[in-house]
Amino acid sequence: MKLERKQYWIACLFLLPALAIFGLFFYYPFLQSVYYSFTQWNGLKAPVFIGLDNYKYIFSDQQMLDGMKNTLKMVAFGLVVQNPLALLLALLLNRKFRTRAFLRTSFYLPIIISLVVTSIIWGELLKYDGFFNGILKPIIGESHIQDWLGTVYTSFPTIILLTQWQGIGYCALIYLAGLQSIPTDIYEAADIEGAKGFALFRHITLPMLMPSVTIVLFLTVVGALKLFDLPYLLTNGGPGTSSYTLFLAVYNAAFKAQNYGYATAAGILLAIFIIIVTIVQLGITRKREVEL
Amino acid sequence: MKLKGWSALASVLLLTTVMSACGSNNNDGGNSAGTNNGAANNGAANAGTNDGAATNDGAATNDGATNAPAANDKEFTIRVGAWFLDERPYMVQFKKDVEEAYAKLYPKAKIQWDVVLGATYFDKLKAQFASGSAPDVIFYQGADIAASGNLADLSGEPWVNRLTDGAKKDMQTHSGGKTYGVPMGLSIGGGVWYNKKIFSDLSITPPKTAQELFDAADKIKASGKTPITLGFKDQWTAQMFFTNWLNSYTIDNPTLGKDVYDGKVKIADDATIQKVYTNFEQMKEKGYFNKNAISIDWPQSGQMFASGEAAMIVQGPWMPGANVDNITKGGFDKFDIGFFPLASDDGKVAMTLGSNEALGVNAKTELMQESKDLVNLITTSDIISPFMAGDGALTSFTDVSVTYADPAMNEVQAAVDGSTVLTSQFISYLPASAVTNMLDSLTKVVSGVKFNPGDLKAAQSSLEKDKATVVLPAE
Repeated sequence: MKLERKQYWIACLFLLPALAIFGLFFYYPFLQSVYYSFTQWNGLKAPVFIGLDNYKYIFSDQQMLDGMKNTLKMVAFGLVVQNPLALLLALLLNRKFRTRAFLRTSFYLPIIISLVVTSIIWGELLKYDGFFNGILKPIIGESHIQDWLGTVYTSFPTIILLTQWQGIGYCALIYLAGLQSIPTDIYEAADIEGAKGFALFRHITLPMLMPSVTIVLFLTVVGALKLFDLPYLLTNGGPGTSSYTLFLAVYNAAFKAQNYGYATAAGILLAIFIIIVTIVQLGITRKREVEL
Repeated sequence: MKLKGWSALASVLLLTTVMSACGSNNNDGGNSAGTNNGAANNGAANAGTNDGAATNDGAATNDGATNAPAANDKEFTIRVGAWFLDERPYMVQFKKDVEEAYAKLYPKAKIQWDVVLGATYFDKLKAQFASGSAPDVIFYQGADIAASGNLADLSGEPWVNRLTDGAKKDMQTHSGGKTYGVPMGLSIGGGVWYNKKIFSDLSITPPKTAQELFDAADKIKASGKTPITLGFKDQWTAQMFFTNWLNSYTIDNPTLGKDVYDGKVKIADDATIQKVYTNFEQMKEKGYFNKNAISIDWPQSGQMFASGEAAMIVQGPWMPGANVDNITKGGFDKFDIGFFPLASDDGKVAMTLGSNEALGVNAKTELMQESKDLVNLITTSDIISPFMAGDGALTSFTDVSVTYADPAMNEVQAAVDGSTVLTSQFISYLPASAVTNMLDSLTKVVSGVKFNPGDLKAAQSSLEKDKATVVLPAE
């Protein structure tokens, strides 16, 4: 008993430096951030306590509201389009055919390219006198071609499509790993029982794939909620607020409008929102997971 | 206090981390509304609240040595923070001149140039102020920095008496009757630079009213060229165009900014503000702007102008130098450029004149005298005059004259002389958040959406929320 207690205190002693550093550089600033979220602070003058004003204003701030609208669109698109497409792609890439290895690499390749590089390349391809309009012009006529990132109607849909270019390959890879972990003897047993085609997918593949579905949905939802880099680099939220996302709205509130207190409040609220969404989503998908 | 400073720094970093913010060279204005035209690639922004009495006819050249202490053997490193000191020849020369002159005062001193190009510098500077680690000598933009208490009071320095009347009213370097920085020249807030060859080929004279500008744009468009190139992906360019045009319309309504600040007038309801938006709407509808106006940045719009594809560009005083660079790098045909200011319907013109870059001393520096000496020698004619010339700035010192390489700068001087020079401008009375909202509405219009005054309500509510952060111009 004495020895156990001694070991306990020694363990605590070893943990202490790490805890102190973590506390100083994470918890203390975090608590400070909570304080700043109740202040008006431009980073230069001393913060002025304004109570809940920052939190109240978030719900009437056009940039935040448009950011929320676009972020939810992104989440919905990820769930309804990206995931099924990624699963379909994984099912195709799981089959045996000659160019399988090449295609697997090709679909994964976008993930390893830096987002800054990606945004520059896509920015060039999509510009008014760029590659895509060069192809479209003879087909649909000059009057119909667009500055895809420069109109309120096309800027955010274009960004959504660009995120799919990277996202689908990544999610497909996770699904592919899941598919390959399903034991083949289950399929053989089902085959003997007479199960074929879609019935195999519905009753064996999908239930066995649920852990992967959980991961992919989690990554899709959190990735969509955190969408920042592409709109920041390609449009900076414009034109107007048409391509704002929640994170971009928070960033611009801090570094463009210099409302650090307000941005901190929005950041805290956003973090809480993400935690809630994640807990709900994980709760739903985990229930459907099948234990082997 | 130290702990509080570090925790503030850590909080800023935490906020940055939480948002997964990544670096960028987007110059979308890390400036407060007090600094009116955002940060250009050379950090061009005007507080725009100065008297236009600047003169380029300096008398005798000031010799910094007369005000400087004798050389001493103290060994130290002095840090100078800046966001614009890049590899342009006049910038390189400036650094060299400063180092050589300072070496005469302090032979064993070393100058460390802490340069972060672009608007990120200001984010870093705020964190440095909060943590007590800001450079000793600080280049800055923004009236809010002068009024923040982070800069030393330099009112007693010898160069203060040499400032021109206009420079003495520079909002960016003066606050509460005290001087906190050196105005590194007085720059115009911006205006229209035009391709003289295109204008002459089409028999167009520089427009003197808004309608003449539309007529000129009509002719240029008919010739197959783009009348005006915009690079509104950089929001400060949108701010520059909008505010400079609005300034001319506010001549008849000089208290508009104050009235809006006081709540007597609502932004969304004001006819003068609406007029400028409808001007942009009209120009967009008639195809006077480049079709990629929203998705290209200022350097790309500068390329369009240099290539001769576009006839006009709204930019700051750095344009003559930048255009020569663009022509050389792009291998385009050379052409002369001219300048005219943006006028109202009835031909009234208001221009702002203020310091582009301001130079101050960290209030908490341990090298106070050494820093003041450095600032003092930078104000000497030999060092600051070539800098002002390169920057396209008018002199801010009575005894410093500036010779410009490009004759277009004479047109700038003539435009300043022939215009009403404002001591404050509309957006000086708005917080940065409200300015951002107004620019959001502008980019929406320029992207092709009809102007809706209701969109300006967002700016009104930002003003009401952040009113306390506004550094009001001196009455």
